[in-house]
Amino acid sequence: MNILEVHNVSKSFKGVRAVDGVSLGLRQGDNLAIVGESGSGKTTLAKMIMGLITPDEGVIKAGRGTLQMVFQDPVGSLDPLWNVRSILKEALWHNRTLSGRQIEEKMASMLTKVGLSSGILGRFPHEFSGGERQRIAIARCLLACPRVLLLDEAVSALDTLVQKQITDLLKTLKQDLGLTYIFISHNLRLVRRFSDKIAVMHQGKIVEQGLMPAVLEAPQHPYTRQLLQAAFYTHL
Amino acid sequence: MNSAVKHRSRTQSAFAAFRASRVAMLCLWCLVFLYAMALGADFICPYSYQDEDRNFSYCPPTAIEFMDHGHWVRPFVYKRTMTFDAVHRRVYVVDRAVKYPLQFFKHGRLFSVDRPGRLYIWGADARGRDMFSRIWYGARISLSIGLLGVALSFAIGLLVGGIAGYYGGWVDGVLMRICEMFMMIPGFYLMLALRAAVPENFNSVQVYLSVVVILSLIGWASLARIIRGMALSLRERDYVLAAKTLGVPDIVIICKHILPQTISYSMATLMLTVSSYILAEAGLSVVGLGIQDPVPSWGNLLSDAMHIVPVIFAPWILLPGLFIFIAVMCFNVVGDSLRDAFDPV
Ligand SMILES: Nc1ncnc2c1ncn2[C@@H]1O[C@H](COP(=O)(O)OP(=O)(O)OP(=O)(O)O)[C@@H](O)[C@H]1O
Ligand SMILES: [Mg+2]
Repeated sequence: MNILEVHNVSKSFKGVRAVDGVSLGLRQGDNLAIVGESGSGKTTLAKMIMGLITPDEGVIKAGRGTLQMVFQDPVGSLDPLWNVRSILKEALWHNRTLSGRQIEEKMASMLTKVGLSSGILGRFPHEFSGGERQRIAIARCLLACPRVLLLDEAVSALDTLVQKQITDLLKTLKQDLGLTYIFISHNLRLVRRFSDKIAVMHQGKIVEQGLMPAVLEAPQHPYTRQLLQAAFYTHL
Repeated sequence: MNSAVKHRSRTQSAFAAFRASRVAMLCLWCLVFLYAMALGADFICPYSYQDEDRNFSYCPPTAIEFMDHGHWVRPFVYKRTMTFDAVHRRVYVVDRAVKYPLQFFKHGRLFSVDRPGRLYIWGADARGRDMFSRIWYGARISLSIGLLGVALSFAIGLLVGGIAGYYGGWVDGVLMRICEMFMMIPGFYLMLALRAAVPENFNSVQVYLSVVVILSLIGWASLARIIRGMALSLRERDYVLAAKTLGVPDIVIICKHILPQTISYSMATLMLTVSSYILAEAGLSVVGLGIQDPVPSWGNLLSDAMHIVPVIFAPWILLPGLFIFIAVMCFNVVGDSLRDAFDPV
């Protein structure tokens, strides 16, 4: 039983096919990595899955309210006029059973989990570094208790240590809560450690998808080979 | 982390920049003073706005005397009597034999004199009503009508602009066509046309409210168009998308994510609009279509000054014009400074 189904979706911007006939199926507990060069349509695909962009063709079946997305641009995804408290609270807005204190506690513990101090609740986005903002965005997403989480370059702006910290947290959460991930990244080395399925996008199409070890060991498409070569054998 | 560090949003820093501007602060305090005087008119003014005495038609400003035969005494005013001179002009003769001492805190008024004395520190109008009192009672109308009109037109303009820009598509199309209909007609003519639709038998409160509504109807459309343009680009921002995926209702997104971003524009425009509404009310009242006598507004007080003869012999009836000028100028300066504070470039 698939938790998310993408059937043959396409999207064009002014004649440019950003996403071109993509199909995906995701089961509960999957951890799918989407890799591909810049401009290959990864963000567009993610936004279509979230229902933020309507596809020109194709259908997407997903339980509404179960998906959350961490946006690629950590500057744009936090309202500059809101402090961290209000930003995080937005993720809990539908939950009316929580008392003010419980909300505060939840937010503080989530901040600690993503490696931030819980004392930053009163601060504004422009007071943070890009990596810190990205972690705030991740905290907001996790507070909303999604079942499927789309992470669009969510950890790319972070240093390797914090990257590991966040990916470890995501792995733990996945085990504890049975989450499903779509992990969009440029970083094949990170993806190899983190995800167990991979889809390779090239010029709006998924040129190859399958289990991580299978694709990495025996890439079928020339573009995948190129990508692997660039990632793992750069010294050549 | 140091908890004493103050975290300031951009809005807060903008207000700090505003406070640094001396002229703007002066104008702001000036406005605060005007509003305080208007609010306290019942206490500050020696007379009610309709207290008239036909024996003192166009009585010139009365000096308050503090000295009598070289001694400090309780402040008083001399008696004045009206006579006509050789060419039948009204003249007021000061009678130094009769003095009326100033009464303080009598009948709930800060200062006054007992009858038959009259106290006209800024002169009297044709019916012997005290200009000082009428100006501050008029300030109530003129200063509040601008604010209420702006509040209403901003509520409409922001909401319509926000909705049109956020939803786009046919919603946007319909709302913008309506805006254009309102913008097509020059403001003053639209105002006159709308005024014609107001029933004749309205009492002063109803006239007041209808003027508020008329004012707000002329201003909202241009604001809505600009806000719509901003909303159109703001709705693409990731934090708006994030709020959408969190299931936040559209109206909350519009009010809390989209509209606050337009604050730098709106705040400045708000101030400038208040001043244009004060002028518009004055315009309506000067031509006799606004607030009706005996209720004073700066506009209808000024309509007395439309005749050349009283202006020559009683120039103090032009004072309301000065107040209109001060209020309008202060709102404009504050508005401009706010804009500079929010957009330093
Ligand atoms: N709103 C838009 N209007 C016009 N063109 C767009 C829009 N969004 C994306 N595109 C185009 O669609 C293509 C795919 O963009 P997309 O953002 O999905 O790429 P991406 O794979 O996420 O790239 P990156 O790795 O750099 O984030 C690009 O060529 C881009 O120029
Ligand atoms: Mg992208």
